[in-house]
Amino acid sequence: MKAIFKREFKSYFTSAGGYLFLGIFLLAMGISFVGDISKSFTYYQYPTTAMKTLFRSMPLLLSIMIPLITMGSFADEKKHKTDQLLLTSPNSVTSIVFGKFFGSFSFVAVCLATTLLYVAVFCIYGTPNLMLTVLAYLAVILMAALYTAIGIFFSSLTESSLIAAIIGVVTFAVLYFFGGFVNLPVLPKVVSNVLSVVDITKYYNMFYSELLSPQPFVYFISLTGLFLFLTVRVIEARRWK
Amino acid sequence: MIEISNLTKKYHTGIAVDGISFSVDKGEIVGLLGPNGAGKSTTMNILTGYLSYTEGSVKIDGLEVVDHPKAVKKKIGYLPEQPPLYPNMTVYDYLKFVYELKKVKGNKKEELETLMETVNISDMKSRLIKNLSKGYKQRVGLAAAMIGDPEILILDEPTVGLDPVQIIEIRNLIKELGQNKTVILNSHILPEVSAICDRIIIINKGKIIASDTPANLTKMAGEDNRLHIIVNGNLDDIKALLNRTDEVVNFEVECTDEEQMVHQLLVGVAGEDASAVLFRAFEEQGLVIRSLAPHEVSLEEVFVKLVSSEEQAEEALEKIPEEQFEDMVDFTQEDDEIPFVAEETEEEMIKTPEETEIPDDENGEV
Repeated sequence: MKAIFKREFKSYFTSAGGYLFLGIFLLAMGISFVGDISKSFTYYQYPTTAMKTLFRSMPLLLSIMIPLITMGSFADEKKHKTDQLLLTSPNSVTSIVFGKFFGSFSFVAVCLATTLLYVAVFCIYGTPNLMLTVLAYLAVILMAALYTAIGIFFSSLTESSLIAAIIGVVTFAVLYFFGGFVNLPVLPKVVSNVLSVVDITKYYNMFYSELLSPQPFVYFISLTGLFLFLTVRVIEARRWK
Repeated sequence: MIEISNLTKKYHTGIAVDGISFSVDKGEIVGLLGPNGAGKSTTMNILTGYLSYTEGSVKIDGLEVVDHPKAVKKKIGYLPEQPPLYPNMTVYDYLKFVYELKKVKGNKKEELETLMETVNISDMKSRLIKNLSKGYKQRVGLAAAMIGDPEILILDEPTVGLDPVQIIEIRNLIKELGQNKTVILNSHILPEVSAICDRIIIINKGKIIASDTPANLTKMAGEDNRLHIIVNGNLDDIKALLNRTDEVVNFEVECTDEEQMVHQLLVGVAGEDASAVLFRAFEEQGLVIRSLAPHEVSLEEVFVKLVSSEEQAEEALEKIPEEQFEDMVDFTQEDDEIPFVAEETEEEMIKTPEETEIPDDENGEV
């Protein structure tokens, strides 16, 4: 698992793609940050402590960003036939999948870590609510882990990384805008109850509520586990075809 | 070392490997030979644990591949048909990755340096793999397969894309490795297989149709009483001479150089001292023999003969009138798995190929 993790993580830095990606991410975050500051000046005349715009924009940004990171995960291995190397090495499929997952997830984490700079700025020029900030980061990290697992799962289904990326972006976008439909009054209660299970944004926002329950933790961690398990099954099933 | 029994792999599109059995001893170099789609690569992929199988058993060192995947995979170095390389990695980084992936314990740097020297890629150490030529890629793949000094090497067309000098180098390397390792290789190049391998297994349509040493396989093609003769002189005189010599069964002019009056002939002869008789006959006529050598049956010929005899057996079976066929075959079986009849025919043909009904002229033209 260690070797695969290392290679996967490094691969983002051995091609221009990884840097380009990091650049675009920083640009988007920078704009959100400027938005946060300018808003706080407009409304309150002094810098506030919350990076609301930044964290609000995160689910949408992750929806676009993560499929692009994970698209090649297994699709490219299949395309270059390097899956033959991995699957004939003395490593279990589970450890291969976990290595890949942690590799991609670590790159996402590095991207997210760059935003800590903004927290530092807030700490210097204001008094941010650190508890809320930590919770906000926890929410983003758990969501990123789930999206990474789903992205890797999509990548394992196809040989084309482009297709994996498109399926990922579309799925996440649908999930993102889902929240608006769940509570439509025309929907019967049963349907909206069922739909609310896949309303990821709802669980994401739970971290920002005053009372924190274990529900969102269980939700994100178990779903991440489920998609990693499904990826293992997909790869194992390929051997039996 | 390797024991395969009754191995079958079915895809939903058909059968790739159909009940093959063979075993390979330690230190043996075995070549798998067969037309495209015969099931060679599938067999290799099963051996290395990349693919599963439908029926049968594959044991490496007494361990079943499916039950002990990790232990088995540690013993095997595999070079697939298309070397599994990451285009964006440098050669050294890639080999380092494979070293760690295979969980090899040892002096990484030293071992990899030695390995790169062995396959002659030290100069390319810090190049990106995507910028390498096919030959170099192939050698990087071979180096990766050799990492960790595995007891068994499985090489799927190891010399594809190499230039002639490299081919000789790699062949010698494989021979050298074969002294204390078990090697299974797969190649389309028949002279290569016969040069390297102790034993050749010919596969066609997922079944083994022959398994023997290169020398025995050549014998299997039947006694060959043909001579290659290069002779100086008038072609009509030569033809006339050949026509009146009793020992000559048939002949054909392979090529001719009118200007120099040099002709190359393939002469089918009968009798033990036919070459001596011919030599004297030519000399008496004042025709100068430049070269006279027995025609050596190549593996290509054995191969074509075996494969085509199998096809003929199938065709023959199809031609049998239905009533007669029903007596022979139990129709409760599925059509494509027909018969003991076919298998018997096949076996017979392999054992006594000289009895197979291949028309003489076809034989002569090969």
